Amino acid sequence: MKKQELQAIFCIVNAGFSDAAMEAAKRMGAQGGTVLHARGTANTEAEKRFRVAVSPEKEIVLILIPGKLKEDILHALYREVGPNTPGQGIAFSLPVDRAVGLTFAEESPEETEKEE
Amino acid sequence: MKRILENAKPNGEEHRGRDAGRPGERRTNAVPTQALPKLMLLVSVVPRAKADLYLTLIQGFSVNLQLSLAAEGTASGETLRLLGLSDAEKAVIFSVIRQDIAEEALRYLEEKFRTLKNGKGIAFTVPMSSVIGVAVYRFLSNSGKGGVR
Repeated sequence: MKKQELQAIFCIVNAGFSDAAMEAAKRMGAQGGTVLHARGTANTEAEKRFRVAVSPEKEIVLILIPGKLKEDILHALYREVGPNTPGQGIAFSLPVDRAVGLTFAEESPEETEKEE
Repeated sequence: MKRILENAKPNGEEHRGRDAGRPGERRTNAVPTQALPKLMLLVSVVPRAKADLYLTLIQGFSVNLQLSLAAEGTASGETLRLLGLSDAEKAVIFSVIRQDIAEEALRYLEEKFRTLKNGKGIAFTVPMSSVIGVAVYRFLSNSGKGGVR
């Protein structure tokens, strides 16, 4: 069972932008992720008022990462698929209590300290 | 009005509600409270073909609410080959589980990920901070009336 600090990143993007999100995360050290299909619920009144169409088709990219990569990956997601991009994505992270089944190498506390 | 149940402190300290007095203060009309088991969100990413099996396995850990969603893995072909995975079709299962059972469930899942043929996956738990409604809490934690534990 994993003892090292892990974070679960959820990145919600417009449909078709999950690959871009995953590429951005991988460049920063993420190993893999899982894509869920979802439907966004925008404020329809605001859409009409501002004459903006918000695509309801969304994809959620779920990525499990070591805690030390969190900042880099969140910044990369903001840059590549953030609200100011066609991906119109938002990303947030949740603290993982425990995890099993991960394949990326486990690090001992000594190794982590040496790296820092 | 619904009551918001905040999870018990990790060290088992008694939860003090909004109406609870300050430390040292004599509490009047205080309802005797005891530490409520924390709830966790157990997230399991498993092969889609095995989703029903894992749903049944997790249900055995006093889990009353589960959501299963179809998903796709993003690992490259090379990575998939190295991990011994054959396809990218996944299911993500969200289960609400009590903290005192979560560790046991994770260990069980870890063993199943290792031993089940084409059953590799990952699972992790995320703490939940609040839940609204006593009946909902009892349902989610499988405690009180009808609970098996």
